[in-house]
Amino acid sequence: MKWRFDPRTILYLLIISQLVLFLDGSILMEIITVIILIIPFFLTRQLYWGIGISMIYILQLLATFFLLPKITSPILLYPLSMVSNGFRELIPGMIVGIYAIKFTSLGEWISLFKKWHFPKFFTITFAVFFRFFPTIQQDYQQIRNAMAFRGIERGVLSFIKQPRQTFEFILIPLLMNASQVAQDLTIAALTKGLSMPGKQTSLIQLQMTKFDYIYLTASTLPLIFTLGGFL
Amino acid sequence: MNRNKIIHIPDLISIGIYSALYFILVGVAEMLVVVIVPGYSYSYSPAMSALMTGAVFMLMVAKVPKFGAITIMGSVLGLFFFLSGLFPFALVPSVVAAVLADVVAYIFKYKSKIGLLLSYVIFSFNTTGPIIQLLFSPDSYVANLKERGKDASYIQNVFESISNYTGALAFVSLIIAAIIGGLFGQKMLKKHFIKAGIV
Repeated sequence: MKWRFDPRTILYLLIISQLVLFLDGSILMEIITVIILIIPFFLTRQLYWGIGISMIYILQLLATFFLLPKITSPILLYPLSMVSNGFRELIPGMIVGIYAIKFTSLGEWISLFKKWHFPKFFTITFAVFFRFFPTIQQDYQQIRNAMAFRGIERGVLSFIKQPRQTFEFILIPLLMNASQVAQDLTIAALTKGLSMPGKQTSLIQLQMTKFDYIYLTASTLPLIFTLGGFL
Repeated sequence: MNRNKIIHIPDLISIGIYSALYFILVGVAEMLVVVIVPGYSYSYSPAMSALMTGAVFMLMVAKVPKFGAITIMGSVLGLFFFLSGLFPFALVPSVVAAVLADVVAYIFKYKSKIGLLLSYVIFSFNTTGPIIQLLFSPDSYVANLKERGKDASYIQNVFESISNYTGALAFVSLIIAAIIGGLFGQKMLKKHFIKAGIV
């Protein structure tokens, strides 16, 4: 099965997940919300994410209910309760975050922002920001190789022995290259007419499918039940 | 307003790129803190990121000395926290800190070294959003622990002492780290970028 969420649905799911966190209702509401949110991973055969997040969530639940009551030492209690309780409450938001970043292309977001007439300073910064991440990764690999080639000590030990120098040797080339890329991107963008006045069209046409509508309703149900006092 | 003082599209692209670098450095800093320092160390991650991101901030201010640049850079981080759903309320402190830092830098005309350092210290507070949320709303943890049969006053004591103590320490260390990081950034700027003619 091949379908993906419309960006608008993801924004709505984001609000829902924040409301679930904010209301801090019963554990049942949280579990149902997580189950509803996690189903699309399995439907679209993203088993890696689906199973991974389910495992983490179940472990956190088990830790909260069976492990935490047995621990008395405050030094152990605080970090553990943060991992199992604090981070568990963030899981619904994280799932939506994965949809937003991993399974929605940058073009779809930009298309939505254009449709909603977001200001240019927002859309351009947003697009460049996400476009630049793969470049940073590549640059970093190149810098590490160059350091090895010149016989400069690298790895964990070098950070302990001379943290300032190692940090400088990695950061400065990254910044140098960033400045270069900024110039290149500016030239490319201006060539493509980014600074032209007037309306710009978009290649991607956003459309709500019936799955979007199903999810809009399904994700709201636990909230309604909680507010109505059923859960 | 002078035409040179308004942000144009080339400036936006520069800001986007430096923000991405800033964002990655913050991520690396937080990871380092969690790995290196044991216990409830998450609250010291702003200090670590303040230590590491000075050079990015100084370079961006030197490249785009216009009102709004610092605001956008700071807001991007908060917006990511918001959009990824991790810490939605982190948006407010990060935007407030960024705008304040921008105002301070604007008063000093984006040139004075001390002014920029002050601006950077204020700017560093934009990573504190998640911590403010986790440190100052431990009510939900307390309630959850109470359900598991812990003595209420005992829990209250543990949580209050830890969060007061860590909160103060986190902010003091943040300010010290921001000063060191800002000075380091200015030194790097002078040593590498001005010499190479990039700024």
